[in-house]
Amino acid sequence: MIFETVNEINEAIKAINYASYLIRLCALNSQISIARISYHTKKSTGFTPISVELIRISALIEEKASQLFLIMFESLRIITEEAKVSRNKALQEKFFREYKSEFGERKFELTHLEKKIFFQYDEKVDELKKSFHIQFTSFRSIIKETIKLCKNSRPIVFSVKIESVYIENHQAAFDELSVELSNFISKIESILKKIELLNLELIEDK
Amino acid sequence: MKKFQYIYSEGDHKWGIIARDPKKPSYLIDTNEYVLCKNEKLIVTDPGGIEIFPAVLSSLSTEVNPINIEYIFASHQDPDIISSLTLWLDIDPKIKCFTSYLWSTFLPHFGGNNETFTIIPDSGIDFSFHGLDLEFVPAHYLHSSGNFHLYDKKAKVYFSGDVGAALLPPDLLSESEIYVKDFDSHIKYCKGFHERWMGSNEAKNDWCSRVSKLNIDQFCPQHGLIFKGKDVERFINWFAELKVGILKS
Repeated sequence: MIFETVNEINEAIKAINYASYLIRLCALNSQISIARISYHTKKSTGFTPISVELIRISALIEEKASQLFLIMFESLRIITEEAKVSRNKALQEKFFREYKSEFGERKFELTHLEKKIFFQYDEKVDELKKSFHIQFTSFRSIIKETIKLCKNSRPIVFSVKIESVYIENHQAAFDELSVELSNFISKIESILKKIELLNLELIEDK
Repeated sequence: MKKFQYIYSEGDHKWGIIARDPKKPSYLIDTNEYVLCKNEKLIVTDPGGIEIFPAVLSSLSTEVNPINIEYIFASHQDPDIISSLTLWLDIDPKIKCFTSYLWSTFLPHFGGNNETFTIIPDSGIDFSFHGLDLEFVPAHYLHSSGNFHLYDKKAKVYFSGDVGAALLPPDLLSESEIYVKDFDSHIKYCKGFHERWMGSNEAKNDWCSRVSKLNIDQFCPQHGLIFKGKDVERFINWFAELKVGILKS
């Protein structure tokens, strides 16, 4: 179950990367189109900074996605390590159970060893739990930052629509571009919300 | 549970075998673990896989104190040999593991770190364990490409890893016998194993000529039964004649 959730989160992060790549592609294509139009009409030079800003936002979103991916990698390492500790602990418990039950009079007093071993395991599990909590907190804050980034990019997308007014004959195409960009951002936002829920599920599973 | 039995004892110098677990699931190969005790300090040879760790440790603790384990010897890298390493190190992280240099970066996947491994070069080494002369004897390609055996000159005990191993049928595995009683009827359980697992006739012949010169009273494999007395020489001669590296369809 945990590994399914981790896999789902990783897939969602990939989808964010892809949507962000499409924003950049749209921005670059529109910049090329605008350059062609401007060459003939000398109008709409205001579109260039908008396009540059869109590319910057897309790069920032991708950076956040990479950070999320790294956190997921670290979380997976912690989950695996914890599973390993529990397996080892279970095998040691089995030994001590057998040792205590099979021999009424035990040749060696292993209580101290038993305490030492289980103290080590408990300490390790605590340490892993703390690390996991740190990862979880960073994950949530990156998600929030990325959602904010998407929100901040909305006025820029709207500027595409405003700028398109100055483009004679090609207005419809740039209106369409504005809708497309808005859709990509909405998609990223919805994926981020999904990831947020999945991450909560992951915490509950643990 | 597996049983601990002494196979050699002279003062504070002892060898024990941990063998035969009636509760062991049949999908796991049966293994023998050996314990060398000197002044109460211990070396465990091929301590086994992770699944059988509780049984091995329980059995070992009936006779010797596990906190006295100083060394583990991994004859090679297989999981039935050493995948339990991490659990032994949980008992005492200071335990050292002897292994071929070839596996020193592979075995940490089972556990341990830079300080865990004492590396044995291809040529083998002599080692003094609390005044006891031990020799790590090269047995490369028998079956692993980096393979060693452990020879105790004083006790004349030779731990031979997979050489001499026998895949015993379930009815014999349930018996508590640890020694070969009838060489001719036992050797058929060794034949298929050696033909397939041992990959090099050249390495085998070289090993046979070296080991036949050693004074061995007990020849102790990791699977099956111990060869004792004249059966040791018979086994080495049998092995020298056997053609190995055979894939049967």
